[in-house]
Formats: sequence, structure tokens, C-alpha cells
Amino acid sequence: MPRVIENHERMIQAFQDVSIISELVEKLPNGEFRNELDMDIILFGRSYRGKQVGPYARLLEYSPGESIVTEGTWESSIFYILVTGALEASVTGGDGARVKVGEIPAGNSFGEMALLSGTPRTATVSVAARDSALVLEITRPAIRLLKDLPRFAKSLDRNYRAYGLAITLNELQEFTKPNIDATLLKRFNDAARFAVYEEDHVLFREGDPINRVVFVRNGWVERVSGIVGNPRAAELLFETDESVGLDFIGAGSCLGLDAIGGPKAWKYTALVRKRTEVVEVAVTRLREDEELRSTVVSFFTGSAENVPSIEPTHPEDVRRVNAVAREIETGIVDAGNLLVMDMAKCIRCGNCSLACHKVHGNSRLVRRGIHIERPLKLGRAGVQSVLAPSVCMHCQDAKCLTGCPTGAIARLPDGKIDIDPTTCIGCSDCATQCPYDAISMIARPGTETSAAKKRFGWLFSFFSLSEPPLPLAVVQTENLLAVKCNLCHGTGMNPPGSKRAAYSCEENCPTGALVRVNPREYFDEIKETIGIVAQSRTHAVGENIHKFDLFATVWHVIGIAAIIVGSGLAVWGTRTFSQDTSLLGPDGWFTARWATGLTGLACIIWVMLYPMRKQIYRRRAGALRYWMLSHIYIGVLGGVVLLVHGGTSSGGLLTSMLMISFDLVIVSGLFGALCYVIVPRLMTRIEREPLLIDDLEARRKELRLELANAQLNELIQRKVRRRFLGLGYLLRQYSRREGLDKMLADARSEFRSASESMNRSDVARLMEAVENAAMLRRVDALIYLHTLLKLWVPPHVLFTSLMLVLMVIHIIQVVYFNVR
Amino acid sequence: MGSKTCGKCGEQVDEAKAFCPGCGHSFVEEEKRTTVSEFDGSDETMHLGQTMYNQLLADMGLSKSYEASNAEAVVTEIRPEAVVEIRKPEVSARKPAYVKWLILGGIVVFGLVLVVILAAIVILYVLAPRFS
Repeated sequence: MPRVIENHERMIQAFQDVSIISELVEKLPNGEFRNELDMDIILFGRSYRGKQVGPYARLLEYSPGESIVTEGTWESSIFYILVTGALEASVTGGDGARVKVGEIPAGNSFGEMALLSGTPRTATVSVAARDSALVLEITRPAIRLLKDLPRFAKSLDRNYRAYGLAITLNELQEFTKPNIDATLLKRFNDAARFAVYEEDHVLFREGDPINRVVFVRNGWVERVSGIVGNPRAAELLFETDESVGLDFIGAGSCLGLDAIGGPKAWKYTALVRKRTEVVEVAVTRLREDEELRSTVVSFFTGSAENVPSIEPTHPEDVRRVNAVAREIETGIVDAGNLLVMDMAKCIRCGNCSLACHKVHGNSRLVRRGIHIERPLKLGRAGVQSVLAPSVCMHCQDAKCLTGCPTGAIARLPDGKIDIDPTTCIGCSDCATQCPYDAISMIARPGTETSAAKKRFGWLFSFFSLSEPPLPLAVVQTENLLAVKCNLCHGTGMNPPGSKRAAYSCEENCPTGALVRVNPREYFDEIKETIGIVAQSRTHAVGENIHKFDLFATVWHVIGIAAIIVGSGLAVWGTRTFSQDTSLLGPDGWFTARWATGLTGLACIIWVMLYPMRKQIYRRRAGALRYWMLSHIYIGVLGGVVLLVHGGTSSGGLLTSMLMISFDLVIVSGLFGALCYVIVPRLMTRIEREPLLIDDLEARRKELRLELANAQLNELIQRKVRRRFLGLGYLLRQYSRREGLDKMLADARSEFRSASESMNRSDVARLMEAVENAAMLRRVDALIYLHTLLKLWVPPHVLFTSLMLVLMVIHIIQVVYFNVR
Repeated sequence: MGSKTCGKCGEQVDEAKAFCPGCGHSFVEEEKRTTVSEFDGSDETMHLGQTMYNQLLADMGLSKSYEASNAEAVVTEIRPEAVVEIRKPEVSARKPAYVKWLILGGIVVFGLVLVVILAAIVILYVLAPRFS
């Protein structure tokens, strides 16, 4: 551990000794500091209205051989400046040994690459073995103040580009493993430059001469051909115009290699779609130097899984390109850890949000967000409807980190971004910056508004059948705290020493609709656009259970086999031995009826574990989706076995009631399972964009009001209402599942002839009423589906309760008579 | 090793460098475009084809054959207030929400009971004689 030096004079001296930041502590002729306020905050910190801001810098003394930065870690809220001593940068070689890649002399900064690009540390930096080192550790908020110092700004820019180039060449060398000497590598370095482009920058235009080979290190580039004018028009035109070529390429891809042999022109326009880092190599140097040329080609093509074609072609499946465009445009592909919901599996139960609330005391998950429709396979009709809810996706280039005045929000070494509540001053800067509305401001726990809880509220809420009340709106402007998803870090979901990360939302989804993933792995169409060298740049660990869920498959196989075998055994045993023949000799009590009864009881006990598991939110208890599968399969198995147990005689009143209640439990449960399978798929196909039941109900209210207030009452009452608000039009919603535009166009056309004799104003009113009525039926259809998903639960719970009571009486009765 | 001065930022740069490490300025000779690009020749706006334009209009429900929705904003019919009959919203006249739930729940329960009764009939009158 380094020694922290807190002496103020030594801190100021350290800043004076480093030329790139010495401007901060420069003095005026009158002896005062030129940048006193900034210096004060950075070096020592200040208190504003009782809230501590800064310090942003620490002076640390490291021992010989001690590591300062570790390769591969994601912690990127800090950069360093070496004051005195010598440092060595090293990377892990192919055999696992450390390979020294350079030295950092005194006065230079390091670590800013990870801070500015949002990527893991690319090298380990440690103190040379012979001497100790004095290092300034500077946190991210200081950059906002330091960038106004000209020398620092220039140095930061220069270092970033120099390190970017060196690191890219090193990555490529590591990946492709060519046998090249140092002089060739220097020639490569001399011929290339590292550049960063912002969104919408045009790299080159169709017809421009190829002067540089462009290797994309990070980011996304759109290639467009056959477009006159603005290349962004391609996204509108390519669906109808087959002469337009359009595709996207990501990190690890290379452009312009075809010009190495001789002068050529670009056959397409390249447009930067997100902040993109590239390495550009001068083509003239490659043409002159054959050895360098072959090295560059092996570097750049060896790192790409799919070498981009010479020019973009018209897409085979426009839906796929639309999906890629949306995934890149919304930025979800650059998520470090993305939450996705497969809407065809989501039963809209809200358990994910509830689980988040239970674990953190406030839900950070809203089931609204970015919706993407992506084709599952090229040319096939199947479409997956994916929702990325408004919840932190731990972006690579996280906007929320830039403005925090205290550094409370930071990226941790394992990649997740978290907020330290002890240093958060509730300024809302991070919440304002976040483009996904994933950060909420709440009343700081312990303040008056948030402490308004009833003493025995938990007891009442446990027995209450009503829906839990919505949390109070935050009205206070003081004592706020920023909260966001921290991947359940520091909660019971991830206790110290746990090997696998678990998230409360994912663990408590009963159907496996929700999963946290690496977007570059999850979206196949994105994975195909990036080179292998860039594919692992994420810290997400989730598997794509929407594509294949091993444990669910195992449960399905075992469950179906158990039902078939178990039922067969029960029927065979009963028919072979008859119900009341002893299985353990002539005087034994253990008959086939006892065997089936005890097996059924074991099944019921297992099945009843599911509702108990549902109450466990704050710690791991196995993913709820597997509990749900076991609940269904074992429940059905128990049902069959107990049916055999009852036999052909229903017995007395008690046993008859028991059997009937049990059958009702099974039937209502199977009905519910069927709803869970069919309804979300149907609903997703009708609604397209995911909607919450609250939104639908609010819209229904609006539409009813508009229809009630519509003029031309007679015609609307007589024809429009009769046509659209009947059962037939409702069933049409389920059977046709057509797009909203088409449905409304059809609806209007039905009343076109009726409107011919009207004046233009009345036509407009009529058409509005027609659209409102048709829309109302669409909304009704969706609300009924939402209702269906919940409707089976009360009878299921009611019959289960009745069955359990009767079963207990039955067991007591049987044991009593047997013993007597 | 020789050095040169960057014409853009003034930094002293190694003679072998193709680009300035300080500002990224290119030192190597690069080809220039000899023809005016179509984009530069245009007014830099999107040129949507006639087909696309019509399709966009149709998507928005503004096809030329139907002009009624446009007319609404232009023509304003003035009527005396007393003539305009404003109906009460249906919502207020509706039954309370729990009644709807009771009805729906009742239907489901009735349906389930019906299924069980049918199953019981099958067991008692069809299967029972075979077992016995």
C-alpha cells in the first residue's frame, strides 16, 4: 500500500515540479495563487453549505516494485502523474509472463486512456525495482478544472493519442502474433496516427481518393453507397431503393486495404455513428515499404472475424439493418452490462421491479425504455421483441461520470458504475447527464419525507390483498441522494466470496424474460460487425437464456419424463396390486393407496415451496424461473398420482370435496400456465411497442371521453359504435394482429362512402371518431390480455387454500383410523 | 535523426513521422479529389425520391386521395353554444371496477367448475364401469 503524504507544502511542491500541471499553482506578482479556487478544491477540498467538495488529488509514495495500475481492471475514475522516480508499463504475454512494453518518465501522466475511453486498463504500471516513486493520484472531477490549463490540455491530448496508437498496435500484435522486429514496429508507428471522431463525422466520401487505411479500434461506422447528398438519407431510402448499399462495421474492422496496391477511390461514404477511435495508416508509406505492407495486412485482417466487403451492398434483410441501426443509435451496444427483456416471455407481473424495490428500498427499474424488433434469422418471419428498460446499463462512455463534483459516482474495478451515498451531495448532475433516465433522485434516507412509515406496516402489508401503494413523489429539493442500479453490489444477492454475479430482477423473473447480458454477444447482428479483438470488451457475465437455457431445457425434459413415468407407474401399480392390497406382505399397512397418497403429498409439499420462494427477494434462493417450472411439472405429476390415489370411488363428502378442490387447483393452474405461454406472445404481436397497463387504462379513459364528447352523435352512435365497439371487432384484434396504421386505414375506408355527402368539417369529425373507436377497441383488446394474465390467480389461490385445509383433515382422519 | 517542424502546431517532430504526434497533421503527400463530389454539388439536404415521398405521406395517413384530416384545421364551423350537446363521459356512468372483477371471476370459477364436473362425469360414468 502506498504512503499518503498530506503535507500541504509538499503537495503544492509536487504540482510545481510537474510542468503539465504547474500552471495550477502559479503565483501572481503579488504572491497570491493565480488559480486559487481551483487549486484549493483539487488539492485540499472545500465545504459548500456543509457539503464537502474535493479534494481531487492525493500525493502517494510507492515502494519499489509496487503496482499502481493493474491490467484488465475497469476502475477508470483515476489517472496518475509521476512526480519523481521511474515506472514500467507491462502487459501479460501469451504464456502468462509479464512483458515490459515501455517506461514512464517523471512528469508524465498515465491511466487517462481508460478514464477517457471507458475501457479496462490496458497495461500494468508498477514502480521500477531500484527506486521508490512519488505519484499524484487525480480523480475524474479534477479534469473539468485542469483542462483549462493550456499545457495540461495539450499534454492530455498528445498522450491520449500516443498511448492509443501504442496500445492498438500492441493489441494487434498480441492477437495476431506476427514475428516482427522493433525497427519494423517503429516504421509502423511512424506511418500511423490515432484519431478520435465524434458522432456524425464523415470519415470520407464516395469517390474520394484512398489516402489512409482506417482501422476501427472502438466505435461504429456506417458505410453507405449509391446516395447523392446526405448519407443519413440512406436509412430512409434503402428499404425502397435497391441501388442503395448500407451496412455497419464495428471495432476490429479495417477499411481501405484494397488501395495498398495502387491509387483507388472509396466506393462508399463512411459516417461515424458513435464516438469512434481509429488508427489511420498513410497509404503512401505502405506502397513504398513492402515489409510494412504485409505486416499491416496481417495485423488488420487477422484481428477481424468477418473482413468487411470492398463496398456495402443492398441488405438482404432490411429488418436486420434496421435493428443494427437502432441498436447503435440508441447506444445500447456500448453497454457494459445490459438488461434486456424478451417481451414474448414477459408476463407483465412486475416482479422484477418489486424485487429491485425489496433489495434496495427503492426500485431502480422501470419497464419502459428502448424497444427493438430484430429478426431471429435472416429472411425468416420470426421477430424478437426486445425491451431494454430504463435502468443503468453501465455504459463504456458513461456521461454520468463526467460532471460529478465529488467523484461520488465512479466505475469500480469490476466495471460496474456505482454511487457512494456518503460522498453524494444530491446535486442531480449525474441524473441530468444520463441519456437513459436511469438515475433517480430520492429523499436521503432518514430525512422526514422518506421516514414516513407505519410502525407495523410490514405486518399489514403481508396480509393485505390490495396492491402496494405507489411510493411518494419526491418533492423536496434538499437532502437528495442519487440512486441507480449497481448490479446488486453489496447486497445479499452478492455476498462476499460469491463466484457468480446475481441480480434481484433477473433472479425473480418467473419466466426468464429478463436477463443481463453483454450486448455484443446477445445481438448476433452486432457480433457479426465487430472483430474478434474487440469482442470481449465488456464485463457482463449473463448468458443468453432467450436463445438457449440449459437448466430450463433439463427441467422440461425431466418434468415431462417424470409425468409420463410417474403416471404410468401409478396406474400400473394400482391395476396390478389393486388399491388396498398390501405391498409389504399380507399384514403390512403399506398399500398402493398409501404409496400414491404419500407421493402426492410429497409433490404438494414441493409445489407449495414455490410461493414461499417468491417471498425471498433479498438473498439468493435459486432463479425463480426454475422454481416455476418445477412447480408446474411436479404439480401435474402430483395431480395424476392423486387422481389414481382417489380411484373410481369419490368416497365420502370430505374426500369428494378434496378431490374436486384438487382438480380445480390443477385446472386453474394449467389454465394459468397456458396464459403465460400464449398471452405475452399475442400481446407483443398486437402492441409492438411495449405498453404498461397504466398507460393503456389512461388511454382508454381518454378515448372514451373523446368519443362521448364527439359531435355527429347520431351517426357515431348508430354506426361507428356498433361497428367498432362490438365483439366482432374485438376478436379481429386477436385474429389479425395487424399494424395500427393498417387497422386505422381500413377503419377509415369503411366509412368513406358514408362521408361522401358530408361537408369537410363533418368528414374530419367522423374520421376522428372512427379512429378513436377503432383505437379504443385495440386498447380494450390489450387490457383484456393484461387482465387474463392475472385473472386465473385468485381462483388458483382460493382452491389451493381450500384443498390444503381439506387435505390436512383427510390426513388426520386417515392416520387416526389407521392407528385405531 | 533529423526533425521537422509541424506547420500546424509548431511542434518539433521526428523526420520519419507521417503524422504530427501533437496535432495529427499529415506530413505525407495525399491525393486530392479531382472532381466535385456529388454531395458538395448538392444543397446537402436529403433528396427523397417521389416514391419515398408518397410512401411517407401514406404512412402518415396523408395520401392525396384523402384530404379530410387536413381540412379540419382550416375549416372552423361556428355554432351557437346551446346547440352543441356535450355528453357526459361514459366512465362516470359505468359500474364500479370491483363489479367487473366479480363478474369476470365468477365466469372463470363457473368455467372451471364446469370442467371439473365434466371430468367427474367421465370418471364416474365412463371410466368407473371399466375399472370395476
